[in-house]
Amino acid sequence: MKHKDWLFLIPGMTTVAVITQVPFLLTLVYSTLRWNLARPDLPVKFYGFKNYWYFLRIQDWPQIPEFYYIVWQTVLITFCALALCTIVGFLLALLLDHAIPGVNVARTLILGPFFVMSTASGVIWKTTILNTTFGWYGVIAKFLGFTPVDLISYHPIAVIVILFSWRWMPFFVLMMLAGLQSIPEEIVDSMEVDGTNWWNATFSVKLPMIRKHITVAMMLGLIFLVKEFGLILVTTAGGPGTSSYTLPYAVYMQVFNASNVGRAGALAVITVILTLIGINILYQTIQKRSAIYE
Amino acid sequence: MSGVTLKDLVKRYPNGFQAVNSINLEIHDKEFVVLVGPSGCAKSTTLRMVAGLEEISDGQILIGDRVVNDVAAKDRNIAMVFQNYALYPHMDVYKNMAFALKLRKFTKEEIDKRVRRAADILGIVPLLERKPKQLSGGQRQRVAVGRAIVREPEVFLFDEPLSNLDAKLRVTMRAEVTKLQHQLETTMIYVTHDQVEAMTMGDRIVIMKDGYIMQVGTPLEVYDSPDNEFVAGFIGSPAMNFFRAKLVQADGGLAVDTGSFQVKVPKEYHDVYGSYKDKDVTFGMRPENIADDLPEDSRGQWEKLNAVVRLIEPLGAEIILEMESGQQRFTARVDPQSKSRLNQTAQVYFNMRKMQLFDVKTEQVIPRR
Amino acid sequence: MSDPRTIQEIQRSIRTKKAVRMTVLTIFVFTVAILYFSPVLYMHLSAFKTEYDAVSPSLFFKPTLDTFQKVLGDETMYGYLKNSLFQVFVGTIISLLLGIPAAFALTFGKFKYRTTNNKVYLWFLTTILLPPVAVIIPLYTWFQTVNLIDNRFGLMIIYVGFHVPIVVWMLHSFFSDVPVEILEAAEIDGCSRFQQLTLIAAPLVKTGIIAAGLLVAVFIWNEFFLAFNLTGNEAATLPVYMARFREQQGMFVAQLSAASTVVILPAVIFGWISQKSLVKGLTAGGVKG
Repeated sequence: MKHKDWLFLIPGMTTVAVITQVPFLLTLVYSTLRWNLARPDLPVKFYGFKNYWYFLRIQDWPQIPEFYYIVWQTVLITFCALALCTIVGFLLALLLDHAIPGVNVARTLILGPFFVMSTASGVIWKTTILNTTFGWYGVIAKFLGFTPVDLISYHPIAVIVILFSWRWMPFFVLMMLAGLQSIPEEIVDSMEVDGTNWWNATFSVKLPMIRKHITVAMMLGLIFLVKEFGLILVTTAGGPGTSSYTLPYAVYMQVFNASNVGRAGALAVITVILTLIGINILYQTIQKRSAIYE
Repeated sequence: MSGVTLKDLVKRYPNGFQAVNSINLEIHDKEFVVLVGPSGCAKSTTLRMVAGLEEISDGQILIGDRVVNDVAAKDRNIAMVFQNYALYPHMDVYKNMAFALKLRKFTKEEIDKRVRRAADILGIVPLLERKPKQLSGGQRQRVAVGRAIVREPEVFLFDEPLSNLDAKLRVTMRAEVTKLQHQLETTMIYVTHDQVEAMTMGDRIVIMKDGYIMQVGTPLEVYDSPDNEFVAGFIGSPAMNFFRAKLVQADGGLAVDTGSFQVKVPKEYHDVYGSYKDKDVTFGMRPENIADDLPEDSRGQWEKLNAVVRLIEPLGAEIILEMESGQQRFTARVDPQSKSRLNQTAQVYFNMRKMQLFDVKTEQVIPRR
Repeated sequence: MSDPRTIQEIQRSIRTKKAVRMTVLTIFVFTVAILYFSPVLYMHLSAFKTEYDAVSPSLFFKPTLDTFQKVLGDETMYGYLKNSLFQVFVGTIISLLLGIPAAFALTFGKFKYRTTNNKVYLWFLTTILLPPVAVIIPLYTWFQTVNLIDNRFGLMIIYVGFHVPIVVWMLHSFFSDVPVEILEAAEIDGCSRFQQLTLIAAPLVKTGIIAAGLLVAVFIWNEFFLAFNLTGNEAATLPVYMARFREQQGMFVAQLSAASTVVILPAVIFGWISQKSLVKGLTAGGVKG
C-alpha cells in the first residue's frame, strides 16, 4: 500500500522538480559565472559574487547605481498595487456581497479583467484609453478643458500601478467575496438585531472574520504582481529609459538584450530573495495586525 | 470454520504510545461478540486491525485457521459496517451494494440475486434506485449493512453502527441486528460504547479499558460476577454504587462499615471475606438492589439503614432516588409506587446477598468462588 | 404606538424604502461593474467599427463585420491560435493527469513518517511562489542546447511543470472533504489504491477537477513571459501575437480590437462559466492552506 502511494507522487514531483526547482538551482550556479552569450570570445569562468557586486556596489557616491532605482521602483509599484487591490478590492467585494438581481452578471463583469491576458489588456489601455489624441483619456480631458499629458511618458509608474491593479484586483475581489459569503447567516442576523451600524459591522466584525481569505489573497496577489511582465512590455517598455523597470523586467533585459547570463542570474536570485523577504514582511505585518483583533 | 483469534495483539504508534496492550481473545464461529468500553479504550483500533485497516505492531490475528497479519483487507473475506455508514455518495443503493461484487467480477445474475436477497432481508427493496443523500439515517444504515451482507463474508465487523441514530431508532435496530446475525449464522464482532447495546446484543461481551481486556463473559456473567471495579461500574445503569468501607467484626459476624452506616455481611460469605477482616475495602451495591420499602422477596438479605432523599427522578416504570446517608451518597432504583419524599429521611434496604467487595489497591473483586 | 399611520401603511412604507434601497444599490453596483469592465467592453465594441470610426473614441457608429473578416482572414493569426489551443488542451490535461494522483496521495497516503504528506504539499506550494524570471535563464540555455526553443512540446512541458502545483493545491482541499471511511469501505470491498482514486475519490471531487482544469486552462491561455522568451515563429501563442501586433500594426485600432476580442473571448467565457466553481475551488484551496 505504501509503495503505491509514492508511485502516485513521483510523476508529478519529478516534472515539477525538473522544470522549476532544478533550473532555479542552475540559476544560482549561473549567477556565479561570468558568462556573456554575446561575447563568445570571453570564456565562461567562475566569478564568485562579482555579478552580484556589479549591481550592489555603490562606486561614485552620491551617484546610486541603477539597480537601487529599479529595486525602489519594484517595491513602489508592488506596494501601491497591492494596497490598491486590497483596499478597493475589499470595497468591491462588499459591494458584490448583496443579493441584488443580476448580481452574477455584475460579478462576472468585475472578474472579467482577470481573465484577459496581460498583453491584450496593456494594448487596449494604451491605444484606446490612454492615448492623448485618440483615447478616451484624451477626449475626456479636452472635453473638460485641459490639455492631456502623455501619461505613459510622464507618469509611467502611476500608469503601471493602475494597470496592474485593474488587471489583478478581480482576483482579490474573488477571494474576499468568497470569504464574505462564507460568513454565517446567524452573525449577520444577530448584528441586525443588535442594531450594529454599517461601519462597525463591516470593519469590526466582517473584516476580521475574513482574515484568512485576505491573507491568502494578499500573499498570492503579491506573487502575481511581482511576476507580472506583459503589461510593462506592451505599455511603457520599462521607459522612458529605465524609469518603469521592475526587477523581472530588468532580468529579461539582461538576458535578451545584454545577453549576460551571469549577471541576469545574479539579478534573478536577488529578485527571488527580495520577494521572499517581501512575503515574509507582509506575512508578519498581517499577523501583527490581526493580533489586534484577537 | 471462521472464528477469529487474537494472540498477544499489540498496536504501537510511532510516537511510542501503545494503544492495544497484548490482548488475547478467542471468538468462536457464528458467535456474536461485542467489544465495549469508554472512548479511548482501543476497541475500534482492535476492530480495525482485524479488518486490515490498521497495521499490527505485534502479535497475530487469525481468521479461521489463517494468520492474516500480512493479508490485505480485501483478501481477508471480511465485511465492515462503519459508524458513518461510508456509503458511496455518487452511486445509488443498488450500485453501492453491488460494488464489491462487481470488483470481484461476479456475473450480473449472481450480483442481482445477492443484492435483491439482501435488500429483501433488510426491507430496502423500494430504495434500490435512490442515492444515499435521499435516504434517512436508518435507511442508510440498512444499506451499509446490506453492502456487507452481499459479500457473504466469514466475519462481520460493526464499528458503532447505531451511534448516529436517534434513541428510538437505535432500540429497534438493536433487535434487528441481533435477529439478522442469527439469520445469517456468521461470526460477528461488534464495537460500541453503549453498555446497554452490549448487554442486549452479545453472546459474549468483551469489556475494554485503555487497551486492555478487563473481562470477557456472557452478559449475565459480567453483570453478576464482575472481575473488577471497572467492569462492575461500567455494566448496569445507573452504575453500581461504590463505598469506601472497612470490613469489621460486628454482632458475631462480619459487617461493612462505611463510616456513615453499617450493614451486615450474609453468613455464607464469611469464609471468603474472612481474610479481609479489619481491612479497607470498596463496597459495591447496585441501585436495583436497594429498596425503600421492605420487599417480600425472601431470597434477598435485606439490611436496613437510614438515608435522606436528595433527588427524585421519575422514569415511569421506576424511580431513581439519590440518597444521602451521613457522608455517603448513593443511587437507588425503586418501585414507581414509592412514597419517598424529597429531603425526608427514609428507611432503605440493601440486598446484601448481592453485595460485591473489591480490593482497594488492585481494584479486583474479592471473589466468592 | 403614537404613530398615527395604520399598520398597513407602515408596512408599505418599509417595503417601499427597501425597494428604493435595492434599486439604488443595484444601479450603483452595475454602474461600478460596467465602468470597471468598460475598457474590455469598449474594445469589443470597437471590433465592429471600421478603421475610420475606430480612430476617435465614440459610442455610436454603424456596425460592420468587415474588420472581423479582415482579422479572421489573417493567416498568421491561425498559427498562433492553433498553438494556444494546443498548449491549453494538452497542457491542462497532462497537468491534471499528473496533479490529481499527487493530490490524492498527499491527502490519503500513508507514508513512513506522518509528516511526509504535509512536507511534500508545502514543497508543491513553494513552487507556485517561484517567479518564471528566476528560471528563465537555465530553461532558455537548456532548451537551446537540446533544440527545444520554439518547439510546442518544449513549451508544453514547461507549462505542465509550472501548473501541476496549482492542480495539487486546489485538489488537495477537495480531497480533504472526502471522508476517509468511504475509501476504507472501498478498500474492504476490494479496491486497489488506484481504483480507490478512479472509481471513488475522483468522481466525488468532480467540481474540484473542473475548477482546477479551468483555472489552469485560463492561466496557460494567458501566459506570456515563458511563451514570449522560449518561442519563435513556430510555437508562439496568442499572447505573443498580441504583443507583436502592437509593434507591427501600430494604430489600426479596429483591427486591434477585433483581434483582441478573438483572443480574449474564450478566456472570458470560460471565466463566466466557471465563476462559481472557481470561487469555491480557489477559496477552498487557498483558505484551507
